[in-house]
Amino acid sequence: MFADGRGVADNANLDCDVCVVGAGAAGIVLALELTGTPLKVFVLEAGGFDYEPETQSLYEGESVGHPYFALESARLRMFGGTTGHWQGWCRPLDPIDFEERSWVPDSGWPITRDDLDPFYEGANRYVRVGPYNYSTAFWRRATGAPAFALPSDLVETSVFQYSPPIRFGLAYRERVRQSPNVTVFLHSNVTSVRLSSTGSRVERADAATLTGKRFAVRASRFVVAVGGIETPRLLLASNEVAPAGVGNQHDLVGRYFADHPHAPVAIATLPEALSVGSLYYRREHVLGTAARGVFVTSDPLMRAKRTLRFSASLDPVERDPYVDRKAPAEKRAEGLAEDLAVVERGLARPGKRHVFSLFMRAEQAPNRDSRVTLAGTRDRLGMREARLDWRLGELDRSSIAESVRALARALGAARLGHVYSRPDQEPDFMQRAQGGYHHMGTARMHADPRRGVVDRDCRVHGVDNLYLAGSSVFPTTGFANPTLTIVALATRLARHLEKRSG
Amino acid sequence: MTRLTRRSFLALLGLAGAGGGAAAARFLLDGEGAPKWSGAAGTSAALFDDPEAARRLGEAYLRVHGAENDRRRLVGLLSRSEREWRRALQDQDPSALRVLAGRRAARELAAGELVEVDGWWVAPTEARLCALLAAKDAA
Repeated sequence: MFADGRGVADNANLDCDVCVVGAGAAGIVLALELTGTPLKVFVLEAGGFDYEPETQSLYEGESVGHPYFALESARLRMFGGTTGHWQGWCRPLDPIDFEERSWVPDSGWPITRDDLDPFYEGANRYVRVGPYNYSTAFWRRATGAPAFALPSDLVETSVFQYSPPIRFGLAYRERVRQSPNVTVFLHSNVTSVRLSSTGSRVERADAATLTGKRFAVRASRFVVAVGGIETPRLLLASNEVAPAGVGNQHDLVGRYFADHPHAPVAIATLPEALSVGSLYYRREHVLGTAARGVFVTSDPLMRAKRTLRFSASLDPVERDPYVDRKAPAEKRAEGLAEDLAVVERGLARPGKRHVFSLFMRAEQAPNRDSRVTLAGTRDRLGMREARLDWRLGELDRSSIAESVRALARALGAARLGHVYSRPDQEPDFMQRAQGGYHHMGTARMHADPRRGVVDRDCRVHGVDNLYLAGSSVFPTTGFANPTLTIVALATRLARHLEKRSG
Repeated sequence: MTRLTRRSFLALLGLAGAGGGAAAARFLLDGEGAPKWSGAAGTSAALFDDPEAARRLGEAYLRVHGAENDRRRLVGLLSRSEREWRRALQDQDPSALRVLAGRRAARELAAGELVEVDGWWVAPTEARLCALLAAKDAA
């Protein structure tokens, strides 16, 4: 059911069993998964059902590092959260994403892909894609669209499914409304999670409305599910008992902010007929979803060359909005592409060739200095705003360049075509890398409290009854968009909370 | 320079790539109707439906690898004392050359032997075959 914080009595104390802060993908899934249990669940959501400029302005903050979107543009403060503008790309993290890799400092999750698999299947249903099967062979058969036969020690094809995309706030509003044991309080901005005097438990969540009301929610357990920028903001701002912030005894809250670097990374000459009819073009209306293949550097390549996860999607170059086709360097590169097409027809295979753009979505290396802290400015509710300092490092740059070379080797070895590498040609290439609105890593998961903010159950180290949901807990990011994994982790957390309360 | 016989020249035209014999003929002749490339360069030219395009690529390669701007040296680098290669280049057998070159280029690329030509990653063999069309003859 729904309520409104603006209608709560001023200075009221409300009691429940589980208090969830935030009703984005994670918060809504928690609410639905806990529906029908004996638990009384309150969800405190800052926004309403629709975008409200005044509420959205509470997301303003600073960005001081690598160029990033305005913080109030990169997320949505409303019921449904940032699913209000996601693009629907779905894929689980791969097993290697959970491993500790010797060449990636601070990599490794305390859980494995096997631990999450049972929850990924349910996540697939929440985002309304097809079957929980992401194997390339399966989708080749299902779509009838071939993938390139590439050397598997260099590059593989991985498949994404596409959510329509589901706006969680719309799709699940009625189910939440009908939930007998879940109440969502709209327009309820949590400004602090208050610790007990010993700091070992959360006693209450303090909420405020833009109309000036203040109230508190007391619960046996609390879950903060407000995204990778707002989670550290809230924990750091909650410093009445622990001056460094909640869960921050080892100076980790807010650190390791990661997004997926997105950029046009290469041009390729490829046979037009093979490409347009292939799995690399989005195939619609297959098994109730859409699917598309992307190029991904293989595990053997990553281990041999010590690179990060890397993916690249294929589009005709004229369709790539990130490429300035009038720029002299671009025109020169495309001109030589036509000459290369002649060579390819002569030596490899006949037929019309076309020039394609390869667009990268890559893993960012864990970077302790890439972080969210508190700005000096305060929002209308008196809470310090967030300050983002996104940093990319040498491992990111070298990994991307090496991965593009792997693409060149693979497409050449398969006698498909050639690659023009932007990282090698553009000295300021890394400045082109943008984020994807994926805010990850700022309350990372690790068994050791000196190396992580939460444990394998997403419980905050040192605080018995506080949990975190969402991509802030990711220690590493893979290349796949985070939403499916967010939903899987939220489902897993709901089961854990239910078991702990039983 | 070895001059092509009329018979071998027509044979080369017949083995030219997807561009077709007539188109290839236009590119294979200089302004006075004589073959523009002969010998190993002529064999290389016959691989491509637009040898001028390949020549441009070769020219770009030689701008950076000036030490290879010599046809005899390029033939040496390409054939590497392999008899099949020598025969294909010197006996002007483009179809055999196509098979040899395609295979070797694929191996080079798979092994990470890439050379950069104006930002594009290509196999050394591809670049050198094109360079044959742009290179100087030894004095």
